[in-house]
Parts: sequence; structure tokens; C-alpha cells
Amino acid sequence: MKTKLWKKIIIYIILGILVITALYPLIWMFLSSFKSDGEFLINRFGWPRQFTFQNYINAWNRANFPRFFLNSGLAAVIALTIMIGLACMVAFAFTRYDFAVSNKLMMYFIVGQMLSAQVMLIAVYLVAIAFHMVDSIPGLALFYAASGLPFTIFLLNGFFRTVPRELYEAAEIDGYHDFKIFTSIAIPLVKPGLATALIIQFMYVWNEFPLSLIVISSPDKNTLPVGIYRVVNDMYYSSHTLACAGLALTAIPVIVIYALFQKQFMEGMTAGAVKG
Amino acid sequence: MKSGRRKKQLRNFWLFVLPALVLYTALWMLPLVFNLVISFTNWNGINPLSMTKIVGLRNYINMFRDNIFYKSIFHNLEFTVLNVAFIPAASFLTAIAVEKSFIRKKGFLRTTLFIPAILPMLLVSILFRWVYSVDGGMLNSILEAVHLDSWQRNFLGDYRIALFSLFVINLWKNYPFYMTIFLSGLQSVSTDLEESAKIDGAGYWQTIWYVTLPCIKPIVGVVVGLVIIDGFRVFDLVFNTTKGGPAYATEVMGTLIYRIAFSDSRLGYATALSTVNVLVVLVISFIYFKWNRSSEVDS
Repeated sequence: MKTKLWKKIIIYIILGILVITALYPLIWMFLSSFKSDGEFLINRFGWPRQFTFQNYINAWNRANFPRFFLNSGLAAVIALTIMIGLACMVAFAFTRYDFAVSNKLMMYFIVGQMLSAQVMLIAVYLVAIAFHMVDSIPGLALFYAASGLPFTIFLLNGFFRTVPRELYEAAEIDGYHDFKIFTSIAIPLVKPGLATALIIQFMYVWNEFPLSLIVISSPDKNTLPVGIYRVVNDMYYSSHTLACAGLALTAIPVIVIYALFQKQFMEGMTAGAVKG
Repeated sequence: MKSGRRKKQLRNFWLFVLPALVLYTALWMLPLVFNLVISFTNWNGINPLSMTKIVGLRNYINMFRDNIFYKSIFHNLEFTVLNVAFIPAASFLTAIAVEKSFIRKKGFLRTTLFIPAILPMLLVSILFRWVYSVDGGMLNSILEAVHLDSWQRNFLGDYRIALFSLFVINLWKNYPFYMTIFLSGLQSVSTDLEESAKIDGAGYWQTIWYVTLPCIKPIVGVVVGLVIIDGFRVFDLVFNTTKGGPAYATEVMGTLIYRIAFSDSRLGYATALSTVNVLVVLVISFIYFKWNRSSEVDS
């Protein structure tokens, strides 16, 4: 039994170090954001002696934050509506009918999953020019929808597969159209899957950086990450505490959503990898 | 009658699939075609295409004479090697520690350790500029506090260690994600098997090596595959920290392509580089899928 005790202690210590490593930079950022520049100079790591919200007020006003939030929100709503709507239709079609072409189409979609935005930068830029989608938030949202389709289809396919086919056939005998079967039978049964897809892809769209950097050019159309990138880069050299407040404002929505929906989160993020 | 129903079904099938197919093809596959076409020209991104010349394979030939290109792709390769060497092991061991640690509050641990994975890479990379800063940065201050002054470095500014410093950011942000994948895998390993191994006299690590690991072999494959591909997709991380510097010491394909396209206005050349990058990612993915399939058949 003695050996077990020291083993326990070692594991506790290792896990403790890992938790601190994961959280410390964030805690430091939040603490710094409440300090004044003067205090930051002499007190880099301690608790703020005087909490000030001035950095948040300044960051919010100076950085055009409301605008960035609005832009990101608009992009997210358009992108997610299209992405999840269309992915549902595909996943339904793949599982409702047994056409051999489904497998080939799935492979075709999976190819795009491998090509992340980072690899597609220039290619996307060319199409954005050709289709006059440069500097347009709906245009950016369409790129988000297209790039998120493969994973969403893949994820939802797993949920749609759990719907028994007899249910569809029974509805067909009752004279339901396929579209009616889709909306009033299939969709309600895969609601948990929709929630998972929605949360995962919301985080993707909300955090996305490279595509937004390429497609959007005017400052007042920037999404949050690119706006932050431009603003915080300036702040970084003038005021560290202001930059910390700026970053904190970006982190808060993400952390709140994670805290609320962590179950769907872990489920969705790992589902693709494990089932694949 | 039967074939009439089948025909109607096929029509409906395409009605359901077509919108997604069109959007995906136009905005995610067509770009690859455009990219390939432009890579045979000397377009600068500004002039109308009518003033642009077709230069054949010149961009590709230039690429193979371009030292920075070799450097960049080598850095991607280094990133991949580091990813493979550290991330699967780190995330597996953490998963084991969390799962088998007799700790009651596993949920709390999982949730907390996962936090870096949800943050935008942009935020993480800016945050780590403070961690690595030479001017009172977190890491250098900690080293000073524990009297390891000789370990203090300009982590992002020293060309010998800059790439490794970037990799550590990548590790910090991404290992929790793979840890979660391992955790969900560990839940499927039957405890009976492990118990019987222990009864047969296998030690703790022996049990993990001979019983637990073989049980989750497919998941190990998935994780290794993902981190390999990730090594060739790195962009935000470098772009927001070193921008490829100092002296190209951290230049990767992503940042090189961005710079050639938008700072140097050589879209033609950038698209040629981009084509190569896409091909590398696709070839690796393809090999990985093949290998994954065949190893699944084996087991």
C-alpha cells in the first residue's frame, strides 16, 4: 500500500503542474488587464494592488470592439445557417437512400477536410476575386460555410445513421414527401447532433483567422480575430495592460460558451477523430 | 412501379445533396483549379489578367532554385517531426494520468486541461509573446526566480531555438485535444483485460504497454496522422509571433506563401508554392488513409 501513496503523490504533482501550465498564462493575462501601466512596470506577476477597469473601457472604445463583435456575429449567423442546413440535407440523403454514389461523395467531401484554411489561403483569395467576394462579410461567411461542410456532414452523418429507416418508410406509406420526412421526422431526432455541430462550428467560425485575414480588407469589416490582431499588435508596443484587456475581451465569449456547453464540445471535437 | 420509385428517390437524393455540393465545389475545390492555372503565369495580383503572361513551368523551376523554399518546407518537416515525437506521447501519458489516477474529480481535470484547445490560435500566440519576452517575460522571470539564469534565452529571437519555442506553443495548445481523444479511447478498454494482466504479474507500465496501448491502436494511428498533417498546415502560429524570422529561421510554407503573394506581389510564384503545399498535404493524407484502412483490416 505504501508504494501506492507515493505514486499518488507524484501523479498529483504532475497533474497539478499541468493544470497550472494550462491556466497560468490566462490568469496572468486577466490579472494584467486590471492593472494600470504604471503598476504593470513594477508589479508584473502579482495581484493588482488597485483594480482598474479603465483598460477594458479604453480597449472597447479604441479598438472598435462593438463593430468587430457585430461583424463576427453576422458572419457566424450566415455561415452556420447555411453550413448546418446544407450538411443536414446531405447527411439525410446519405442515410435515407442507399445509393452507392454516397460513399464517393463522402470521399470527395473528406478531401476538403484535409485542406484547412491555412493551406487554401491563396487559392481562396483567387476565387474571392473572381466571384467579387473580397471585402464582403457574407462572402467570407460563404467560405466559412463551404470549408466547414465536410466536418459537419461527417459529424451529422453519424447522428442521422442512428435514425431507423423503418421510420422513414412508415412515413412514406402515410404519404409524406421526402422533404416533409426530412423536416418533421429526421431533424427532430438528430437535435443533439445539431447542437454539437452548432457549437463546434461556432467556435471554428468565431476563432477563424487566416481566411478572414485574406478576404476582408477594410478595417471596419474585420472580424474579431483579425481586428484584434491589428489592434492588439499596435497596443502591444504602447500598453501591455491595454493589450491584455483586448485579448481578455476576445477570450471571454469563448470561455463562457465552453463553460456552458463543454459536454457537446468534447463530444464533437473527438467524435470526428475517433469515428474517422 | 419499383423502378419508378427508385427514380424518384434518386431525384430527391440529388435535390438534397446538390446545394451543398455546389457551394463546396465552387468555394473549396474550384480554388485549387484557379490556383493551378495561375501558377503557370506571372500574375502580380494587381494587373488585369490580360496583361499577364503565361510562363509555363518557370515558377516551378524557380522554386527548386529558391533556398527559402527549401528552408520553409524543411521547417514544416521539422515541425512534423517534433509533433510526432512529443504530442502523441505527451497526450497519451496525460490521459493515463487523468484516467487511472484514483482522482475523483476527473471531470474537473478534463475540463481545465482542455481550455488551451478552445482558445483562438491568435490569442495563444500573442499570449506567448509575453511568455517568451526578453523584457521581463514569464519564462525568463521564472528561470531567474529558480536561479537558472544561464537558461534564460531570447526564445523567439534566437534563430537556433525559435522554431522549437514555436513548437512548444503548438504543444501547449494542441496536446489537450489529443488527450481528450485518448481519454475517450481509454474508456473503451475493458478493465477485465487489464486486471487479468495484473493478476498474471504484469507491472503497471507493462500493462499499459502490452494491454492498454494495443487496445487503442487505431486511436494512436488517428492521432499520429493528425499531427503529421498539422505540421504542414501551420500558419497562424508563426504569422502572429515571428512572421518567419529571425532570418527565415521559422519560415514555413504558409508564411512564405503569404509573404510572396501579398508583400512581394508575386501571385504567380505564390500559387506555385501553394500547389506544392496542397499536394504535400493531400499525399500525406492519402498515405495515412490507406495505412489506417489496412491496419484496421489487420486488427
